[in-house]
Amino acid sequence: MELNDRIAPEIQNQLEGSVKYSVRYEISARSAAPGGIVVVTGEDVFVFENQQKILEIKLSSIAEANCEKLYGSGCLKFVLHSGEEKLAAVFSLSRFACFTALAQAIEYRLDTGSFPAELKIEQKFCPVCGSPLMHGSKLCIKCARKPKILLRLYHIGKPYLPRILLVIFFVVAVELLAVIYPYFKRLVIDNYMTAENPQISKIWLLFGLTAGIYLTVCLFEWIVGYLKNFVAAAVSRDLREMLFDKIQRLSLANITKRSAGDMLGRIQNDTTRVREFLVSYGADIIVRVFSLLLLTVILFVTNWRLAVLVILPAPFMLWAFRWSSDKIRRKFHIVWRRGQKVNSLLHDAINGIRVVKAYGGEQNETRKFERVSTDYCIQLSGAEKFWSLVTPVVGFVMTLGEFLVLYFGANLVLQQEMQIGELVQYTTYVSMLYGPLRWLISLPRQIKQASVSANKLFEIIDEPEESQQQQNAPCPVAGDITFDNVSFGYKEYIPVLKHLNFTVKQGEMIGIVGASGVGKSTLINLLMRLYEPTRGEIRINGTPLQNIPRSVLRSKIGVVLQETFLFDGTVLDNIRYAKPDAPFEEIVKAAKAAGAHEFILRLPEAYHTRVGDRGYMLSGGERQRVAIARAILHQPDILILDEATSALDTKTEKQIQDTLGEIIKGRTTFAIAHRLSTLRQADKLLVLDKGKVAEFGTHIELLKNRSVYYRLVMAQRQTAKIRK
Amino acid sequence: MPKQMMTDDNMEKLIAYRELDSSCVFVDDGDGFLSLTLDETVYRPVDLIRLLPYDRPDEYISCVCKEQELGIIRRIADFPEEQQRILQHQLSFRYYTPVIEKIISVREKMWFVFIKVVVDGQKKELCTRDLYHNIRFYNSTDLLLTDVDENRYLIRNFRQQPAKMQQKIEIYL
Repeated sequence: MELNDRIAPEIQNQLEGSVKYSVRYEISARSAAPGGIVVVTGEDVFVFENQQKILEIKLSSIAEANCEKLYGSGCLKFVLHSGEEKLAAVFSLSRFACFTALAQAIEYRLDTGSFPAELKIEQKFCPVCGSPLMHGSKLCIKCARKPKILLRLYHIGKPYLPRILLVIFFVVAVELLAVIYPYFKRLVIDNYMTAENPQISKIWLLFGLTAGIYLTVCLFEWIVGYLKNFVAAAVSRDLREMLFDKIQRLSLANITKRSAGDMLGRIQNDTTRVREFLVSYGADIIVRVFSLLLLTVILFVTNWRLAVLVILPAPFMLWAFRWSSDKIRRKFHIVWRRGQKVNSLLHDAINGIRVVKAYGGEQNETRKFERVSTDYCIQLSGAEKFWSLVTPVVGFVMTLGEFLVLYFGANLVLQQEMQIGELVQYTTYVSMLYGPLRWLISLPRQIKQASVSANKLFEIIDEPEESQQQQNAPCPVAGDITFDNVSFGYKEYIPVLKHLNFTVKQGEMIGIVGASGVGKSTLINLLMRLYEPTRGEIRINGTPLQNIPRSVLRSKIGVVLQETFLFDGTVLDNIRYAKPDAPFEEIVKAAKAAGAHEFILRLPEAYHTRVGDRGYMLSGGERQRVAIARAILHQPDILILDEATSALDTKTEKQIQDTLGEIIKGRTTFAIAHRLSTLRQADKLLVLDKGKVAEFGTHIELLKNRSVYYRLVMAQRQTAKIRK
Repeated sequence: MPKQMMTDDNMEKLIAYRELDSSCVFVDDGDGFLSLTLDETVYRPVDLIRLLPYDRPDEYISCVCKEQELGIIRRIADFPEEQQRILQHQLSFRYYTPVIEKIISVREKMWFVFIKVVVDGQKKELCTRDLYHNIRFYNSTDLLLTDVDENRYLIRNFRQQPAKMQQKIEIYL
């Protein structure tokens, strides 16, 4: 997408220099005009409303270009070098992505002196057909080529081809046997059940054959069911494994652009949907269509006039079936929604019963519950009434063709143009015909759903992985660490870190200080290369971070976080996670260094004690010690402590601080802490404010500055006094 | 000073807020920003934030300048007419919410719902993802609908609308 909305000739005449970008907006904050246009040339930004120039700013005078979401709108603002703010445009949120791209292009120009060659514009609609895209995805349901996707599924199922062919063979056999069965009935009725020609032995023979067919059909259906489920389960297992493997190899930026729920949904729900489609529709597509054609041919060959009567009401029947299904589905969906409300209220009232009782809210809760419960009851009885009325009527309509065949067929029998057995065979075929027809109605929807699910899976499978660089390249991880004009934002229009410039000497401990949400953890994420800076460069010993293979970099970084994550395994497994091939002696040394060995000795099964899901069997301090042991096991050159002791009680925190004091010696350490007293050992403090480096220096230097750090220290002292 | 007294003073400081009355002066600077003169000091730019945007859109408006709350307007109607106009204009573009006059059709397609509506006398098709979560009562009578771009639309007096129009939306409420 380009940012070049049409510029009226009257505006064109007022412009100097060539136009780089032009973006329209629909809301005017200045006048009653129905919006206007922002035009960016090589040197200036102009804003026009009603073809009048209302704002002109030199690009050189702009310090920042920001896009901001208001409540029902967005705005583009400039902060000038003088500190003055200028509002350029207010727009509906449909234009937000365009203005975000414009703001970024201007910022890029301010940083580099030129405009970017390519603009990154977040797409919510398909650029080809204009349909909305799936959330967090570039997938367009309309443009997705369903046969191509299903063909790709077939490729995944290729190793199971012999089984798939067997399924098709047996399903075709079942269908053929089902067609033969009414023919035997006809033979018995027309040839051997007549008073003139009673042949009990032939009846026995046909009875035997019929029973044989029935048993064979049962056997074949069992084989088909077994094989179909096997292939579908295997294909969905392969897909799940491919997906899981891929997610492990994706960059964090790629993973976190989707919610955890979305990822889990794709691994579990979408693979299940694909499996269900393969079970219910996979081989059946061919067979049901074959069966439909076969039955239609038989009906026409047997009696074309009756066949016309069968076919004529079919469109009406199918419409009635679809109409009633839609209506019933909608009605019961409302019932389900109301049921959800009842459940949700119950859930809240029972889980929060202590609060309800503490605030005397029992009557209020009862009244709320009565209201939603009555609403649920009304909707349910309405839906049931509709269902009980409509279902028999639709059922009658669905059998209309059979009634017609019975009536006109009976007339033919009476006129001796048709035999009774032939009529029985015919009506059986008619009822067999409507089954595949009803099935075919739901087929397009099922194909669409399965192809979308498959596409969502393939979208992740096809995503580019974290680049794997050569590991034998020289890559120093030890050395001075330099942040050179680094900027970053998780969402491109909200910069978290802006223009960071500082150098940390090898072996120094740096305390990172700042209010919540200021970007402290983000800075650490950039250092670990979990994300790449939007602009600028991080260097270790002069080597840009992107030239150091991630695996090498991360093997030299030890991390201890506030929320320690332990896997459900033994203490040994959890410490060894950092270095799977570490000998036991090394693990004991790491545990001792972390002060964990002593408490492990007291555990019933020592290093083989299971820590439980997320380590719930251990106390907070114990979990943290295990995490520290894990962090130091691979002897990191860089140690990151992200609020490593903030969740602990004072005594445990003191013990772990002492332990850490020993561990950080000689290692470059980045420590984040809200409690400033925990950073007393830091060589230097980096104070972040609004995403920028506000101060950088020693504790004494920063106190002398009497700026942000000084205020933070004073505020914490004040809080401590109040607590006392 | 007794400890209890000190705590009470601190609490007073903590919970205090200034109620802005018609003695303060709002000025529309003509460039989209709002200025506020308070105790002979001029604050600019001032952002207006509805504290109860759904129930009382014209009451309890917080005035913020550079992330600091200057005070709260109890009721816009208490201000002189010209001041009211200035405040309402600011709120109108910050809380931009077009009103849906008519719902022509509602069509579900896979995970999206397409709603053909009449907004400001013009036909328009809105697209929402998961309408169950993106449509809700704004207050006791009005519905708020959020589309895929996060634009918000209002349906006033939903229960007074024609039964057919209500039926089209009822399933999602």
